[in-house]
Amino acid sequence: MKPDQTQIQKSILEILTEMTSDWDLEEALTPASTLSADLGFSSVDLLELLAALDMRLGRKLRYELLLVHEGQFRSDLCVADLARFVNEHYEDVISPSPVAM
Amino acid sequence: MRLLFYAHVLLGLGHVSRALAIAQAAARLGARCALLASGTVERLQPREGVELLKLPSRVDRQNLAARRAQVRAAVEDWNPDKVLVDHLALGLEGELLEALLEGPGEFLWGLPYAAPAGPARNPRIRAALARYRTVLAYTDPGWCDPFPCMEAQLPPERYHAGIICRAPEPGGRADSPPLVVALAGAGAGGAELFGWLRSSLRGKARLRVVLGPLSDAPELASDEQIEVLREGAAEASLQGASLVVARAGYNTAYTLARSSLPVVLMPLDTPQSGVEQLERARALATLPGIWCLRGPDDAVLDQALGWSGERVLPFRVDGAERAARYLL
Repeated sequence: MKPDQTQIQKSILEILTEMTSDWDLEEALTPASTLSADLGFSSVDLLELLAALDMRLGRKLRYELLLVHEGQFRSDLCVADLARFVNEHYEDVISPSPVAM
Repeated sequence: MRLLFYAHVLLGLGHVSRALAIAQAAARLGARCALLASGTVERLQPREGVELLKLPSRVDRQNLAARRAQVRAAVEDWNPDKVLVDHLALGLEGELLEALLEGPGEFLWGLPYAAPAGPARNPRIRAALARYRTVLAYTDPGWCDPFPCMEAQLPPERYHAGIICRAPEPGGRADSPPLVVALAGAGAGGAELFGWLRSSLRGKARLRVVLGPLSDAPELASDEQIEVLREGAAEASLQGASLVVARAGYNTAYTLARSSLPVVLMPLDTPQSGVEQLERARALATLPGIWCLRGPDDAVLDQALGWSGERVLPFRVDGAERAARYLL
């Protein structure tokens, strides 16, 4: 069953909490937390987040549609942006059931 | 001395090709060398003196952990004294992370062009990047130098090796009718470039195109007015050329700059490609007989077809040998 946007956002925050447990973040994670400016994400961290989210949702989404906007890479995005994108593109899967190699 | 060279594969084999050039130079100096890469790397010939350690083809993001384990195992098995990593310090998708954290050897970072990134907050990434004590720029100071815009993220030891590129194969120049050779790197985005040249040059010059393995213009193969090569290195496809029109990837652009031919560069300019090709093309266009175009321009083609002259390059082109000597 498709999770709603609130559930998706909760999942993202849970993944981020686990990922950043030893990062010494100064502020609490919220839907408004931005991945780059607030969390100091690198491109490798972003890939790990998206991979973990794929596994949690049991599907592989086309995140490049989110990361490239009007021909340019987005400079940053917040948790709520990601949750909104997943909610809107939940059915646009590349692969319905990602599995670890 | 055991040296391991790592290069990622993205659209083409440019990064791997550059790593191989340094590895071969080091092998000639007596080092035992291996190249660790994935994809269609076995297409690169010759590889004399360099052992190929082939990784399975690029994996999905769900399998990053497994990829990291593969890379780490390969590094541990080879047990190098030094590891030279091309372009991205952590690899394309962070696949070097485990090897950097726990693998053997001294890691060195080779930069063909800038790869700026903000400071990492993730302590594992910070620890991995701290393994690098040395960075080599595959340029000269003052020529497309990646160091100034990456100051905060560079390790303390820094060295400029010079440009790494092969010399173009010698060949006569055909002027009647002229022959235009068009290169689009691995081929992505080539349809627009080739289409413009086909219509612009009809009745004026012959056209040879190198489609590349990722070509988006396969219909050209059936066009009898065009000589079509499926694949080919820049240095080998220039036989008889009067003019070259090409993307501005590192290896291709510098190999063409070493030739005596007029060169029109049309840099790939997409969010994925970034601005490195554009910056390189603009720099090279300050040299005689090289132009940089952002889009089709028939007048520049005519001007370039009529050019003859000499170029004195303002940078060293023995970067592979210099990098190898630095490693040893």
